[in-house]
Amino acid sequence: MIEISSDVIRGYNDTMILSILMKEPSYGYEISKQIRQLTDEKYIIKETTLYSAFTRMEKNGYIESFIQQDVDLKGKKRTYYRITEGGQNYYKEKCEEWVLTKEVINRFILEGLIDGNN
Amino acid sequence: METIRNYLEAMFANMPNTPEVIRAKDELWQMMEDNYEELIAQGKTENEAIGTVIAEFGNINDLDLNLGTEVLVQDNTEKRYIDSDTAKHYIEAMEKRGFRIGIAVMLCITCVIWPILFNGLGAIGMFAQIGIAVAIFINTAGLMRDYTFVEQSPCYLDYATSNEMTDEYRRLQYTLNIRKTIGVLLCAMCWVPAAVLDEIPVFSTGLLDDFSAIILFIMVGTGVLLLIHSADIKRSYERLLNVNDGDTVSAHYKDNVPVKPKYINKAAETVMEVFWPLVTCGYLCWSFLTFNWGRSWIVFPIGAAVFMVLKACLISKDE
Repeated sequence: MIEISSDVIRGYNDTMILSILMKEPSYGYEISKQIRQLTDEKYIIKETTLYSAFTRMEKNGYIESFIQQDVDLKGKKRTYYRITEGGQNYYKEKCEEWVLTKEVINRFILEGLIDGNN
Repeated sequence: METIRNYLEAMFANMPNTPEVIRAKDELWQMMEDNYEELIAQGKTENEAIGTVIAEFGNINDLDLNLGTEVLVQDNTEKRYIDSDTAKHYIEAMEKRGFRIGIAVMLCITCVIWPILFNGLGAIGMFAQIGIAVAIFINTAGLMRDYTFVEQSPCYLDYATSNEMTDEYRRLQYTLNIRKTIGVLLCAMCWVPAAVLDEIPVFSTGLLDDFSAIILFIMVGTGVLLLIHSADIKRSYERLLNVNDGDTVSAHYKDNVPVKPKYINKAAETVMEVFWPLVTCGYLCWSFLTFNWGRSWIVFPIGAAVFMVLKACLISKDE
């Protein structure tokens, strides 16, 4: 089975994380779980990749972190992330960029080859 | 869960001890813990869960680039890793060394028993005993040859070994303290049997008078053996548990390790370190030279008072 190469997906990890944070603030494991579910397990984000995306986006002011205690029995303290206004703008830009990228790359994909040779 | 923790700690062992690195480790640990718990809740076996969590961890170098810690990869090669077996062997060797040196010193102290018992002829026994002691000293010198790196070059312990050693050391504390106390008591009280026996007329003359002197030397010898043996065991654990230096994240394993008090400068540190050996040495010299055992024990209470004052003056207030 073919897998997504990490080089290609790298530029879009931010887009995926931000789209989840657009809905509501969330924390590390929850975000990685949603990415896995939304992609039908076709893409599983590594924990180190996820964490480095957090630190980078926080430095750029796209997201903010805060500590919150779980409401369940264990009451575990977790670092949550919420999207900032800057992050929302960045997300929109990334979405537009992707539409353009998809359109451009698609012009070079020969439809006939995909099913035929694989 | 322990396996995952060990994996994470090993990954971070040589990272610099900065707030960013500590935070990264804590956050990754949160994610791994959540992931593990959910897999177990889904009915996966422990091994499956551990395998998945570690597979999904990713590459630690992804973090390096963002934290600007590439430099530390060099550091990695310079530090020697001490595994659990090596650590155990080192402690065993140190214990053996402490015991042998203790025995040798004891032989040196008690060798005077021979002349006391047999006068001139006893000198043969005395020199024979010193000979044995010297042989033990020479023989022991080679014992630590394989472990000089622990004392001299930078090393590191992994999380599991560090925990194991901390537990073991804590368990041993009681035994070590008892041994040390008995050792000090034997040295400080060695004149008591002689003083008591002196009061009994039968013992104050001839061979029986020698008897009280012999008891004295045996008590001092045994006391010194106990002190040296327990000091070497203590030193071996403290050395091992302090190899993870403060510059790397691994320093955080030793949160519970009794750390040596920090003094204002190197000279103060040396003074405090040699203080008690010097006091003991002074006590023994004074006592043996003047045989004034009834008075010389006063060295210890005075020593304790001086020690408290010195400690209060010299300790670093930065902590």
